[in-house]
Amino acid sequence: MPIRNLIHGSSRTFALLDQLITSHEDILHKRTPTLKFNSRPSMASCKFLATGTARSVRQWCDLPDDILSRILSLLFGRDFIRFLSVFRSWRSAPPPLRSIPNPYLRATSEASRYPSLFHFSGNSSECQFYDPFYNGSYKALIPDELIDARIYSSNYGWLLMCLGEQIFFFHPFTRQMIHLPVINQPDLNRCGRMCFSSPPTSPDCMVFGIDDEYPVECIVSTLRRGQFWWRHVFYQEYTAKFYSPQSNPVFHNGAFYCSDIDGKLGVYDNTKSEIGDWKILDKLRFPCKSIQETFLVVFDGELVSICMGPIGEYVRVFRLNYDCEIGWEEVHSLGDRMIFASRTCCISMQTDTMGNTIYFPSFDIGGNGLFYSLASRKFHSLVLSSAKNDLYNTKRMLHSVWITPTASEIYTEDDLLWFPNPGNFIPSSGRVTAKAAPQAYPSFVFTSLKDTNNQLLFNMFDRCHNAEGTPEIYRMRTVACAFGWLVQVGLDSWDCLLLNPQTLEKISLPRLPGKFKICAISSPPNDPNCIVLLIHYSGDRIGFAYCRPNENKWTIVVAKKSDDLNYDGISNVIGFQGKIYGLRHNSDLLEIDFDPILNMVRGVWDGVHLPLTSSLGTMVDKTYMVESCGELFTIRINFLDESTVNPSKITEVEVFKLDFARKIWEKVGSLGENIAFFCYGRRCCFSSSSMETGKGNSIYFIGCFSDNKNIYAFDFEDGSISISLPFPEVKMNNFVWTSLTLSSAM
Amino acid sequence: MASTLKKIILKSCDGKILEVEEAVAVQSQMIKNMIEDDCANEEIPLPDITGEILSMIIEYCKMHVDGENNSNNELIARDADFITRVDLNTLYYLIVAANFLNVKSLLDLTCQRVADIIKGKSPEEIRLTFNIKNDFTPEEEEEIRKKNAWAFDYKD
Repeated sequence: MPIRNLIHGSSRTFALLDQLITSHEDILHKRTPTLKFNSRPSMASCKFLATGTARSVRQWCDLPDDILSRILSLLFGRDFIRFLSVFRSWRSAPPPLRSIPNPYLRATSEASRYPSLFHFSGNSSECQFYDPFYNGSYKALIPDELIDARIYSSNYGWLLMCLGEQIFFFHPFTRQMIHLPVINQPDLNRCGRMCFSSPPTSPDCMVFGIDDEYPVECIVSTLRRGQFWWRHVFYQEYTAKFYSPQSNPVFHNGAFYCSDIDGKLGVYDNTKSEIGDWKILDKLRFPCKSIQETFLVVFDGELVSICMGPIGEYVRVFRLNYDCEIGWEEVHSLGDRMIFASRTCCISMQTDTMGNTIYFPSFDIGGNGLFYSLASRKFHSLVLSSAKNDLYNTKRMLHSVWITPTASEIYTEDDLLWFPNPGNFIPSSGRVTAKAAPQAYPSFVFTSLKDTNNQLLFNMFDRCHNAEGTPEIYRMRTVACAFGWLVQVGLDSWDCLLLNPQTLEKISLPRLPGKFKICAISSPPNDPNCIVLLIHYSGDRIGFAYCRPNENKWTIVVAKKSDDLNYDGISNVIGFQGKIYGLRHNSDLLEIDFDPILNMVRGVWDGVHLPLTSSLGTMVDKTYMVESCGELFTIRINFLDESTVNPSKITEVEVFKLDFARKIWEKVGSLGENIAFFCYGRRCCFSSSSMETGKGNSIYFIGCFSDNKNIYAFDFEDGSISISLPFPEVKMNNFVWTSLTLSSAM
Repeated sequence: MASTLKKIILKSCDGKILEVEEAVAVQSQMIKNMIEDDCANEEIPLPDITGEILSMIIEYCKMHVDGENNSNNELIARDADFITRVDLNTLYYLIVAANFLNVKSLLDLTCQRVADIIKGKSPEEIRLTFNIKNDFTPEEEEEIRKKNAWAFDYKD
């Protein structure tokens, strides 16, 4: 008998159902297929709905526990908490595995305290909690003034964070804060690593920080709860570098441990003396080549380190073996335990279902969290059946940390006082959004080293490639890119030309007068005042060569270096509103004026510096300047290491816009949906606002790092970096990026 | 063996007798166990299930047995069609009956439906929908809100 004959219609129930069906889904969850109702039920089908009898729906209060558990297992995040807040008896059901603070389970089930990956973009107040067992994320907010704050470490549900000179604990679930005294060690603030021993509300909590000016000395800073002053101890140690490990220090058996990239350990033990005992175990080495990242974790009462190769090429696990001779011993299985690894915090715990795995703060392009299985030696997600051998086409959250949601407590004011009368907390200024600039798509050219006729044209979004050489750029490379035009110079000749790759318009320039370090165009080449400028400097001389597109020779000016005229460290020379600007030492803005003659003496804009970075652990940065829609922008990539070629050491990508009136660089929180910046090689950068098909609000890096083949994309929306190969199907061994061109928008 | 033609006789609490093919009936793990234990030769009384609900469940099981050869997507579409025709009152009895009879796919479907209904709603909206009286004191409610500010404050 068909269903429709069994039940009789009622318009009241129809209204109710209609309301239910339009209820929206606010959470992306992927493991359980959710039924999607594409349209509301038509009147025809609705009239068969419902019983219309007088039976009350009161029974929902009395749902048996096993059914409640089943429903609860389909909910998470806000919905999970709200479900438990509906009715008293609905809280009696045994809860599923969730990494959500659950106040109703206090003390009863320590077993289900699994961590969430907390991450935020660093550009907005929206943050996300990723539940590794549900493979879903729910959104929440952090206070606006914390957008620029960065995470040192996490434990016991608290984050140890830093904002400028302020160091504080933040509880993202209750949004409460504990302020710590200002630390008078600017380098520790910026480059150091920190962790803490016990919950910050407990009287024995101790904060530990380490900064290492290798090879001069290392500074250990400590602070106990109730203390007003940080204690800094300087050790003269030359044997290990601790300032740049990606892995945080850990607290283990009453001592703090930090690890060098190659396996050496630093141990700080303050149980023996008040000053504390610092030693370096410098015989320790990991038996791995080209380690990119290490993660230190306390694993079942032992110290364990995870080593990862370039782009996840390998993952190996070692335990510190104290038996007879101390050494790292490879661990081939984690048994029923799993590890949650991140730069800021690593946690290991037992699990019934997912043992022998390591979760990383990486996601596949579909947003599914990735974990590494020591059994299969591959990366997996809970959704995709196909496993990955490495971390290509994945994204890494830059500001992320594993946090274990303790049963949420509201802490009292006394709990939140580290010491009496904490200093005032100064919120940072607001963010701005970049405006659009109508431009074209970029294409990038790969040239084979063996056969220069063999070129691949890479378009960011079509990924189309052609094997035919593009004659316009044959044996040429791009040295500057602005206003839709490229300055191309010969790879093995002195030829020089301006090329508009959209119209294939070409303007030949006089043969190059010699070598140069920097090239820029002041305005679009069809502007009669357009100037192409080359700068070369060596020793105490600076040479300028410039010409207008209609001229047949370069005008050359050579000057002696002086205090006023010092172009050491100049980079990012670009044209903007008829003038040429550059950055000196990646920070000071320099203006080169051509009216009436080349005026480079009063070049420096006093006091116009890029703000200090808010990111932690930054040793060095790399900048790109770009013009977009009549505005000047600077992109800054911050690195953990001293070199700017290793993309796995990126801590943060920042964008600033110049406010010409106020002469300050303002931090930009978003580029906007349709805008992307493209950085190519060491200096070229340009913006596009026609991003209908590609992913906007992003910055693409091509040929910028040492792993020249890969493309890196920074996404403003979630603050992640993703890596991909331009042509996964092509063997790229002999190819290098040689050129940047522009293709039309559609 | 002609077991596929064998009929199982089910009796609802309001006295309705329904004859069901064995292949359909064994969608219920409970009935399957009874058949294996050779306890299903006489009519099986189902004390908590009305004839109306029982017919719906049989209809559902038939749909799944008949649709075995269909694509997964088609089955999902049919499930969706089935479950959207069910009002909340019926949904409750379906869940309880599916749980008792242990029809796993129906239990998944109905619980998912409840979860989908709950998603995105505030506790008050959930109570209104399911006709549940709030049994928390205002003080308790305030405490819950405070402790889970992140779950209540965020607006999409």
